[in-house]
Amino acid sequence: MKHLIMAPVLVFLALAQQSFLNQFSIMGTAPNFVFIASFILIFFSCLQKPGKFYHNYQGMFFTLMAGFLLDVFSPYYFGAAISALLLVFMIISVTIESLKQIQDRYLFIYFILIFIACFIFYNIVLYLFLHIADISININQRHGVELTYNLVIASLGFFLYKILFVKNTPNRQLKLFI
Amino acid sequence: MHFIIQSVKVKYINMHTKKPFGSIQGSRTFFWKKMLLGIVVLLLFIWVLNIFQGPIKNTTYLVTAPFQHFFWKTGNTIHDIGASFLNIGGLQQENANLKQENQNLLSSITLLQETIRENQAIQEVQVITKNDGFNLAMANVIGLDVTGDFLMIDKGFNDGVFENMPVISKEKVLYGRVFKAYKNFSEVMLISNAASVVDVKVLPSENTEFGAVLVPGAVKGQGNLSLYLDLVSSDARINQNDVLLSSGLEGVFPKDLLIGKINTIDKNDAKPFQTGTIIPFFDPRKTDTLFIIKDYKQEK
Repeated sequence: MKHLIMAPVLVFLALAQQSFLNQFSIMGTAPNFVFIASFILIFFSCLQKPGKFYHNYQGMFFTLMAGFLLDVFSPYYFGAAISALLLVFMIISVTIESLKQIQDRYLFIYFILIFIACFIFYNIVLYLFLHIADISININQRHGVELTYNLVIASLGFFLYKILFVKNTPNRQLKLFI
Repeated sequence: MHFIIQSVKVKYINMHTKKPFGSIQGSRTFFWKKMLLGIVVLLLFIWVLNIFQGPIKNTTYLVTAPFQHFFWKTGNTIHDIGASFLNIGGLQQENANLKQENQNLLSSITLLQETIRENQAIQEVQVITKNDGFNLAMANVIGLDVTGDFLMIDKGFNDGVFENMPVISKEKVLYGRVFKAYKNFSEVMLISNAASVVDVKVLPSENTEFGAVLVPGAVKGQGNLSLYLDLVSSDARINQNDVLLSSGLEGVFPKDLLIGKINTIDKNDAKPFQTGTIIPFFDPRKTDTLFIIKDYKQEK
């Protein structure tokens, strides 16, 4: 059921990012809404179904769909975003599997830490895929602004998702709607 | 007679490993086979997507173009309203008008100077200044990729737009070149893209009289809609606010297109070249329409 709701949302975000949200950049950086949305979906999907990533079909579906949307609106060839997101999906899945007893009160901290790691990893992988011939490392304050901007939006998305789809139980264990 | 009945366990043997499936080795082999199959399927999927990349992207853009156009217009309006609020009153509009007027004037002045300096006929000046020498195709902007410095326009090879064609605004400000042309759409690589290099000449702002010496250099993109100046000889005299024009030497862009103004200069005797930051004239967020030069002869 969640597939049916979130698939059009991802398409909408991809369109809005391409034509609307990019006009509100800060210091030349704009949030990657498709990445953020897919991250949130994968994160909660892995929480809901802890275990091997290849058994998490819902997470796989969101990963492939978001990857396709990122690639289709990119001027480069297909595959870069799909592959990078699949690696991110594996990282999230493995990390969450190793943190089986995630308490609700620490969930946001876990979310932030995993998001930062995955965002940096995703951008590095994407850069390597697209600039394999001419790699040059140039880290400046814009990258910090970009990370912060994306993190703020992702945090808002996290709480929005929790309000819409997640129900807290009295023992503070995370329970999700299926 | 007594028959002894023993329970028999049936084991399924993996024909390749000669080991039962139930064993650790068997399950590992099964796992890796599954992984390998998944990777092969994924690679096949990506390969098929790349084979049909043109039709897939064109169809997607065609279907989503009305929404993207709507989003772009809405974003432009909201951006302008927000900027107007921030700038108190009509300052934003006034500033935009002045900028446009300034760019028009700069375009006229620089082209006149260049033409007179080369001692060419007035007729030729008019041809260059009025853009009549170019066969232009007008296109609407429908998307912007800030992180990659790409624009999407609603004209493709069905409209005679092909790769490497220069893209300019009505004020003759250089935006970039067509990176990839699809049937009805094109991706424009902005000059601020990290892979972009434009040969330029620096028009000194202090000496605007006839005979001013033009300094050659190169404008390189550094992403996030920003540019920098490079390859300017260390003994050349350049100043803040000097205007940069395309020189046409790289063979991709026509000469005398406006690029930007020098903001800061980094001159170091130890280095063979001067570098500097640039305030670009282009502003993709405030642009609805662009022009593609269809008949400029290119070397590439």
